[in-house]
Amino acid sequence: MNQRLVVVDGKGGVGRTTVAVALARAWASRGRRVWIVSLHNDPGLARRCGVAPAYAPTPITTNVSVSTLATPAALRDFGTRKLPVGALGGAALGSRPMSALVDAVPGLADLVQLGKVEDRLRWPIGDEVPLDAIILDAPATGHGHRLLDAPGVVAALARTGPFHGLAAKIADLIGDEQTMRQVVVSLPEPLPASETLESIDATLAAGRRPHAIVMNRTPPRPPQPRPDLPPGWNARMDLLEARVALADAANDTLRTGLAARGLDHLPQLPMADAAAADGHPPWGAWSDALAPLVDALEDS
Amino acid sequence: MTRLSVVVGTGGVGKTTAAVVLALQAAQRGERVLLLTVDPARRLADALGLPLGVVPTRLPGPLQLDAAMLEREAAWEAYVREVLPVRDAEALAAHPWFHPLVRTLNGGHEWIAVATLARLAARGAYDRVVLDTPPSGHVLDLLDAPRRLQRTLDPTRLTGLLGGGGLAERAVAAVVRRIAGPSLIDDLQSLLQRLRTLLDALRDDAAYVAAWLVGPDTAAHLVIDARRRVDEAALARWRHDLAQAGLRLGATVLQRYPAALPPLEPRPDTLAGEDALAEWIASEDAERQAAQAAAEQAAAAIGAGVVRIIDRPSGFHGLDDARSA
Repeated sequence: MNQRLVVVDGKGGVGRTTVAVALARAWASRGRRVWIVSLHNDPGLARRCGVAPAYAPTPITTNVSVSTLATPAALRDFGTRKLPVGALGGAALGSRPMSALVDAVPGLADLVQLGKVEDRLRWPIGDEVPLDAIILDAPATGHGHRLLDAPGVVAALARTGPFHGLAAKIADLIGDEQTMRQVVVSLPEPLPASETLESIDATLAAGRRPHAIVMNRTPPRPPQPRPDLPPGWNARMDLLEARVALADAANDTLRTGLAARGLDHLPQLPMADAAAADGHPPWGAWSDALAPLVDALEDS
Repeated sequence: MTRLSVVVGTGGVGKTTAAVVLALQAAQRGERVLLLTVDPARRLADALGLPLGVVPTRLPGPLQLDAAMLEREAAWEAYVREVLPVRDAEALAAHPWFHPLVRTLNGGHEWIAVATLARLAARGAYDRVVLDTPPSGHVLDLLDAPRRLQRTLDPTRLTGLLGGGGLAERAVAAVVRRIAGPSLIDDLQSLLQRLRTLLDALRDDAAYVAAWLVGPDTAAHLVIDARRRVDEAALARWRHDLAQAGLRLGATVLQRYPAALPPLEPRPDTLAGEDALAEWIASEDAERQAAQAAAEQAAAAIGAGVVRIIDRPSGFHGLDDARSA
């Protein structure tokens, strides 16, 4: 398999982080080495994995580690090796004018963190093992689109120089059909489904494409016809049937919308709703359910 | 002074529906209400079943209830045109960095919403504004955005880069200039020149807005999804942030509050062949009750009053559904 960079994208609250972790575990169960990262010091990913947020990779299970990336650390880390800093090296990268510049130039903070991701994927150093995949737990859509637009924005602003070069390199990575994969997380409800289509339109308009959709929190199917049940069970079965009807409608909306965009073959995968949110997510069951997603992402 | 209800909460909890219900309740009390969303995903438009734009639109019905959606770049442009002389405003809007800057600025979305609100409120057309904050919205970003914008574009942080400073500063700056490339520094310098007046205006408006936000006319309504177990740590962060920001808590909104159900009997024999489903229903039921109890407990601990919005299996579609809530 070619190395993969997988961006897990979706609206706030749809469960991007959960899907990113379940996907990493599913992949790792096939012996692949996976690194999941969140950006801009967002601690949500580390919290979901039950570890302290850290820039350095923290192993969470065999072959899976997580990191919480941030701009200053990424700049010091790979910048020293990849930018023409000369003898003053780290001093310049850690300097006040440098951090002021990175803050002030639109898109540059995103670009620097993507630079670290590219660097780790393509150029392992020292005792770093080669990775099969990096999964980016992207900020909520809106910001997620901005993230992948960052190379274009910076390239237009920094018309020459090393940042222009870095922007071009990251733009190549994002445009690389062999490497780049985009997974969109949605919920089986009407509003999230139509928002997912809007978000896919933005992706297509930017010249990228999604590779799979995960329908998180998909409810189980009640038996048809319904057996004789006492009132308490009947009432709950009513609720479940209403939810399933919503889910079916949402899945139809998505399927029709995807077909209208020429994306008929995009896998649309259910991830089961786990009723018990007692702090022990059913990672094993979720990973099993995401096996077809791993297949789709490994497919060249 | 115009009262302000800021609707806050984690992404996906149903802030927009809560904002619609709160706005309706206020309008039903006879207030003139503006419901304003800064959500680019048009959740509000979807929830109301109406097309919304940046200009407030009267919602159908007898109430004095308007709604509008703030588009960030348009709002920034309008703001620039309002505070700067025409020629300066045009020069700034034409700068290649201006649009990328307002698009990427952290908290810039929230802040321009509030600055716009402050200007609307000053005109006295509304008794109350209900603000639906964006999904990723952090309440502190509201107050912090002007300071961050100023810090981001603070010329003194760029000393050395734009000339000036001591020998060591200039040596470091020379390396940074080489990394950045000359065009980037030139553009940054010209942007800072064009922004100078704007930053002064921002500072004044920020002070006005900050006073409004922490004053007696403003309350934050914290939305909690009653179907999911309250994340104690997240709730503690919210309360801490709200207190830090000096925002008064108006009410806790328990969203998707479960309708009362008859008690669940022991599993009937008729479901014998459906083990997985029966277990799911039973654990879902236990989880719903636990979540409901935890939400009630959290609301009681906050102690600022509770609004319960009863969950409906088919969700909210349009104003009538919200009216019946």
